Amino acid sequence: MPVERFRDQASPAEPTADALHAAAVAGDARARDALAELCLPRVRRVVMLSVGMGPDVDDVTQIAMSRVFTRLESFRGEARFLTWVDRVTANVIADHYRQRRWTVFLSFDEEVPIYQQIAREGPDDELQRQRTLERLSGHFAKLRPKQRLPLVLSMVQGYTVPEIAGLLGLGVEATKKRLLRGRRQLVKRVQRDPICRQALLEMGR
Amino acid sequence: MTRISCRRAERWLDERALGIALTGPQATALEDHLAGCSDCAEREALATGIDRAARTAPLPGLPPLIERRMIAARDPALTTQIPRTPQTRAWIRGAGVGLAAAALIALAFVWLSRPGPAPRGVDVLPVVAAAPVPVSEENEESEGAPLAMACSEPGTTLWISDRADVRVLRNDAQRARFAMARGQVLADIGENEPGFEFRVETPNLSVLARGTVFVVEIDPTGRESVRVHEGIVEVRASGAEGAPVLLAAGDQLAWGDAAPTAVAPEVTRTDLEFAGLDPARLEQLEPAPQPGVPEAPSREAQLAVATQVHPEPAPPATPTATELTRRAQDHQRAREYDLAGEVYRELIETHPGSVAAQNSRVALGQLELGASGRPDHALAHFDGYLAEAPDGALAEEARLGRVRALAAVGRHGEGVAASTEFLDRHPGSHARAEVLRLRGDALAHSGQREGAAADYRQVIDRWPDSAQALRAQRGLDSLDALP
Repeated sequence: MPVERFRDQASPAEPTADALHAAAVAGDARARDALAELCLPRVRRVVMLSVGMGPDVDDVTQIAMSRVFTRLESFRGEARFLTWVDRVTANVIADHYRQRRWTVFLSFDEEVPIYQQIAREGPDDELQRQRTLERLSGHFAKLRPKQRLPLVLSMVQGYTVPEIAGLLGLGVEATKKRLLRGRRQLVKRVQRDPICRQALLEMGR
Repeated sequence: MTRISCRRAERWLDERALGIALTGPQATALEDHLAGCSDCAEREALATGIDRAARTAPLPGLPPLIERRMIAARDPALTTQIPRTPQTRAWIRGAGVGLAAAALIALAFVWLSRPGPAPRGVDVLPVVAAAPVPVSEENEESEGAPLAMACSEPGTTLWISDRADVRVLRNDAQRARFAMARGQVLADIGENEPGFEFRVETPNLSVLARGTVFVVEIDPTGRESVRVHEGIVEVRASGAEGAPVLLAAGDQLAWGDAAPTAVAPEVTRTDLEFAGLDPARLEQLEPAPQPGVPEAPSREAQLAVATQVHPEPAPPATPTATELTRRAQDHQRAREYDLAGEVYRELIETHPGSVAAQNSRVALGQLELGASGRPDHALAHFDGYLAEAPDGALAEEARLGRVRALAAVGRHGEGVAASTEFLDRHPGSHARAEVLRLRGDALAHSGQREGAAADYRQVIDRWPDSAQALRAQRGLDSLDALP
């Protein structure tokens, strides 16, 4: 089976983002808008999986977006722009963890409808995958925060272990340990969830 | 051909997924293993599916208003910078750990020199009222003795099992909050000051006591559960906004359970022995009162479970208040809100004047306010509760419901008064930020811009980065936009 890495080269969006950033800093309002639209889904996906589906997702995303755009001028191009965005997002999420330590944003009320909707909505592929992602975010939310954020950065953005260590200010070995543990726990959790397991097996084959 | 175990295959698969290169022989052995092991092949397919879903599955759509809010965040002129949470410096953290260690030693000394019966049953570390202990920052993976110590209002004790991981998040005159990651705690809450809040949080549950004895446990498999031996507790999923589940004496609830179940007597005994309570207190808490012999009224009888402690003299055909409460909660969990409402109404009619009937008014009000979307009806229920029990166990919920309902029906003048009353009467409430923000809204609608701005600023200053701060910021922005 081939190794599936997706960030061996720079993502195609990255040169665009770098160029848009340069234009936005130079005062181009349209570039600023385009940059916001480029960053929003990226930030939101990381936040959703790191924070869990719940009322805080939008607020944490907004805080991250605000922080990126209020500090746009402070980015000096030492790394790729989207890497910097990920670093800012990771900091905001870490702040959020510190404030809401030990909480997981998956309520009894939210568990049931996702099950029901997957069962009811059947073959609608896009919706099914969306529901699976929502359900998967619930499993991410059960992981310890210190495992969750590195794992999200690895799975969603394809960062390597040393890159994640650099982003989060951790040692490489500690990061690797957290990633391996988190990944093992996540897979175990999903294996125990029949609906999510079935949907993800289909996506994986 | 080198044969490898499933465990090794699993590890290499995970390493490969993280971009860690395998050697040639390792890769060959792994492929050989996968070709002959259906379990590992399936696990690999599942892990690949998780990677793909995390990376490419479509995100849920954003409501247009939220999307506008997100995109608006690009423009510093449209949004105020949210104050950054202060980062704890390493040396401060170190000092905190040092202080915690010193306090631990001091507490151990206090405990060892304390007269009274020694704990019996399983290994426990009882912790009694003492000076507050700083919360440690980085100790999640430590093993062995408890990491954080508890202290509380006089008369309140938190018993922590050996190898438990419990931290003090807050411990002052208004509030005691503990977070636990594993192990078992037994809380024996004494007569506290009105408004004092005692809460234990697990990764998934938030347990709020209302004068009670209860056990929170995270067993080695990670199963989180709450057992109530006396009084009433309120359990909700951490971070959830919905109505809580009320557990009465004799109830237990585990994370993921559809409904509370009864605590087995042997479990109750084990729990109580665990705490090593003194014999008099043990006797007081032992379950199973003699049938037909009514107990003497106690302070617990004032709480919602009164009907369980005192068997109703009603004929057997009439459901007891406890049965009706359970039935209503079952409907609520099944999202059958209309049916839940009917049962609560039946309870109020058939058991007038009981504490359970009073509490049903609050539950009914929350249903009307949330699921049914009838804030005017909700208001009547909250008012009804407060008229009967202004200092009742659920008075805080009732007053909070009133504030929300008044905001929803647009009676802003009364909303200001209700919010002020709430803030005065419940200084330690977890809903202060929301009520302050709602008072700001009500003041803004009443044309009192200065008062509104003061409330909004207070929310932003005291709870920065919270959802309420964001809403308050929007309120403040809209004040500026007014002519």
